[in-house]
Amino acid sequence: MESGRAGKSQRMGEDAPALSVVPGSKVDEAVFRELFSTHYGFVRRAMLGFGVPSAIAEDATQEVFVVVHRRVAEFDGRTTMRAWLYGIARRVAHTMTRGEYRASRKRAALSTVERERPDLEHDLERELVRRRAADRVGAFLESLAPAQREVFALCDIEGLRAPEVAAALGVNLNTVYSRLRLARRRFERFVRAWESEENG
Amino acid sequence: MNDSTAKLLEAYRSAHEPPAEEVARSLESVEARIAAGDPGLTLLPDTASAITPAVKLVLLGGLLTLLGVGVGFGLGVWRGPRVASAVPEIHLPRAEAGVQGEDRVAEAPLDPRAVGHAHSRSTPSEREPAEPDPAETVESVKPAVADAPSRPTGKRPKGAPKPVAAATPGPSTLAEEMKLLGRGRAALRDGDWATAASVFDEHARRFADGELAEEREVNRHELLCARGETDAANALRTRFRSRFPGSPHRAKLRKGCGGAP
Repeated sequence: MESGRAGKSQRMGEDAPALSVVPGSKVDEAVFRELFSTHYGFVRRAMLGFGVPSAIAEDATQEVFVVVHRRVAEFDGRTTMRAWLYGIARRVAHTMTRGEYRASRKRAALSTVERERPDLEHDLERELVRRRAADRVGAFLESLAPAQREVFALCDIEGLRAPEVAAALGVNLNTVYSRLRLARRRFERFVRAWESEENG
Repeated sequence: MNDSTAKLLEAYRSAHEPPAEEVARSLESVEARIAAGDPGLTLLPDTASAITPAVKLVLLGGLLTLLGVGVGFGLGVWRGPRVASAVPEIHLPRAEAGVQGEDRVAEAPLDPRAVGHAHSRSTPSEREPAEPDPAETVESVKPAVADAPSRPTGKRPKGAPKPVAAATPGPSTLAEEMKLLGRGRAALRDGDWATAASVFDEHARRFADGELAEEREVNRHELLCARGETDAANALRTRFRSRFPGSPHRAKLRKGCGGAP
């Protein structure tokens, strides 16, 4: 499980040199676009993790990048771009979910059509297996305490390194390791139980 | 990490990967907003990181103080005024109290049996202070009785806060809001923009933060677009995003004046 710290970072796209924003400077248009494309998925998943309803996750993610564009001069390079983005995403989620209760009441009365995912795979069986596995992991994440869930998702799903996570969450590095260790232990148990269930 | 766990996590990741179309659409939308000078949300402070080490220290200090008082109270180090005033009311005869009489007096209130025992053996004159004085009891109850209303008068005393229910918009308020906005919508459909504007203004005056405040702003946006006041519509859109960050109407407004009928 140690590979979650370094190996996965590379796999998930550690801040590439092209994306490095010079601290305190204005962001170049091309750099911003690349920053957007690289981190959009990360921010969107973070939004869902913060409890932002999927119906407004896209809006919330856009909001993060508008704020990023406005505040990019505040990025001081002390942490990575992803850790900085995560901090902004957290505050955007907090701000947006403030009015969510009221909106959700209305949404029930409004006819909203869920957007269909345009990239549905043709191989339905494969898709089904993948979704089932994803649902299982989702259920596991739900079962974790919020603090453990956040660390586990950032390290083992998003591939952030522990120091990045510590910076993003504003907690001690040892706290990150401790939460991660506990969450991973639980995940191992969860996977074993699932496998034995699957094998009858 | 073994193969199973890696596969599971990969499945989760890919299931939550946004489609390329969404990324492109969002980028377009974000760039349009930035170009229009939209500053985006005004962020609320992050409550999770608001607990700084200094705050933690203050909280810890408060907790320790409370703990200290609690322990002190439990050990009898600190005696509240009620305990202190009750102690002199119980007097054991000196003969029975013996050498340790003072200690027994002090401990007496903690043991109900001891209190009963002391009362049974004390003389009437000694017992008197411990007995509740009927006159005093009536006096102490009187103010409470006088304060409590004997029956509802239907009038609210001066300075008393309004009942909470009165502040909550009831169904009639919502119906009124709907009626008003319905009039505005009808005027908008008929091209009677002056009437529509005055109706929406009236709604804003009467129900500034009403249940249908978002709908009013969406209608106003439509009106501005219909009038060709694009700049004002853009400004309204920006305000709307900040004021109603989680609104389901944001998708509609995102289209701008081009998306208006």
